[in-house]
Amino acid sequence: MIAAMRFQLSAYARSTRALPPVLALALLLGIVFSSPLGGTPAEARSGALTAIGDLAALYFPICAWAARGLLDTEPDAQRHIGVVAIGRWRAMACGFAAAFAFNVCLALIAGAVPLVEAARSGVRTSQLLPAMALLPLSALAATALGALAGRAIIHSPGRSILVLLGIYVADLLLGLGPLRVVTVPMIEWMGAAGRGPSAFTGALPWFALRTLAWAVLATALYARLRRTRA
Amino acid sequence: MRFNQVAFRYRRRAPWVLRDVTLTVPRGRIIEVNGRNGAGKSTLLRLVAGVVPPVRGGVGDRPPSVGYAPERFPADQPFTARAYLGHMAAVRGVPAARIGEWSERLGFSGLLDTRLPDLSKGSAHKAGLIQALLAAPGLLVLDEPFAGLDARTRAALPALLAELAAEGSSVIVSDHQGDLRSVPGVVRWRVEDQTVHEGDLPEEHTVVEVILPRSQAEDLVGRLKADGYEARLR
Repeated sequence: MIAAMRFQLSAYARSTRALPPVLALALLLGIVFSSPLGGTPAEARSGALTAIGDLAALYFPICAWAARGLLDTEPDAQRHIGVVAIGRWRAMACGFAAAFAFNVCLALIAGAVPLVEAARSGVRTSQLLPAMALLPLSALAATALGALAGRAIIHSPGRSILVLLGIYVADLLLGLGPLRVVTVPMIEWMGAAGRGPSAFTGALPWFALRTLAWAVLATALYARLRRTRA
Repeated sequence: MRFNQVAFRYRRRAPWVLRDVTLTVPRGRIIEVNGRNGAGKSTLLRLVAGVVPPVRGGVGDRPPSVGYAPERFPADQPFTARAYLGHMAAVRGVPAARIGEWSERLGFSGLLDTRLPDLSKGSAHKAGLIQALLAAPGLLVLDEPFAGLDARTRAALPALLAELAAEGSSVIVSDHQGDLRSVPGVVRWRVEDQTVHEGDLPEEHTVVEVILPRSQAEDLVGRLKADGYEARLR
């Protein structure tokens, strides 16, 4: 499995497809951290939490885009060869795991900036670490969305991008209403981060559980659809 | 390996490509799959290799190690041939030394450091064959393996496939051009009317004119009929 993941990551890194999501993340980090987190340590801690909450929501479509790009780097015929070489389920799991591994790298880059900025303002890193769990969880849910929008499931590139962005926008809009429980709670965690450290930390397990559940369901749907698709 | 009442179509409500296919893939034999364009040969090969599962019916006892070379090798990948085949050897868990062995046999050694997109169609096809052969497969599925190959490799490939079959592999090959005619003991499958028939394509018939004295004509017609030919006197 490791060899198959390395093959896909290597192909993605060598192609130019990996660059646009990285540049988009750099742009996002530049915008989010264009002003200081805060003057006092308390303000800086609050500012860092807000930044982490915003980042985990705003880099979601970037991670989904990256996952889709990584999976689509493999030509259809190569995907068929991979299925024959290691089996349908393992081939699918390797592609998904490779996409998630790349998105975890994006999460590490995204998370490093608020940690460094907060440390410079005198905030202890340990105070921010629980909130950092949102970044890989968001990346996992985004990987599942990217996989669902990949060419193995949706052959038309235009329709695929529409589905990816449509689900992201629908998730944000549903997050404002009574159906918010079925969403990745991005709107809610951004709001909680803005209300302060105690509100954010108290709601974090609920946010994490819902994000994880969304990711598991989306991954199960992806696996179900891949079962019959070449 | 067995196909039991296998049916396949690419989408719900799409026409069936194959229906009620029941057959056994014999071990240690070469199977030539033929049929007209669009008959479903590539689909049959994908079902045999396990690229797609049947929509109905079942496929059982597929050997654990399967090699598959698609009709068109996916050359649009950012690797040299050596790096690509190295990755494929690692994925299959076989020593990288096999790349050199098969490259040598297929006349590909000089192209190992060429980028895949820069390979000619025939050379890219060889890269596809080598990756399929790397794992010493119990089942080898090759979709149009002779297309685009140079004359030397094309002449050498039937013997190579016969060698693999003699070692116990089942080798399934779709072929339009009859390159396996010289190989003895080839099993032939014909894909036609959404199913698979075992046996040769019906041979084309022709008319032979024989000029002889009228007194001997009836005797000759009788003898030809006795030998199983259709013969008549005009």
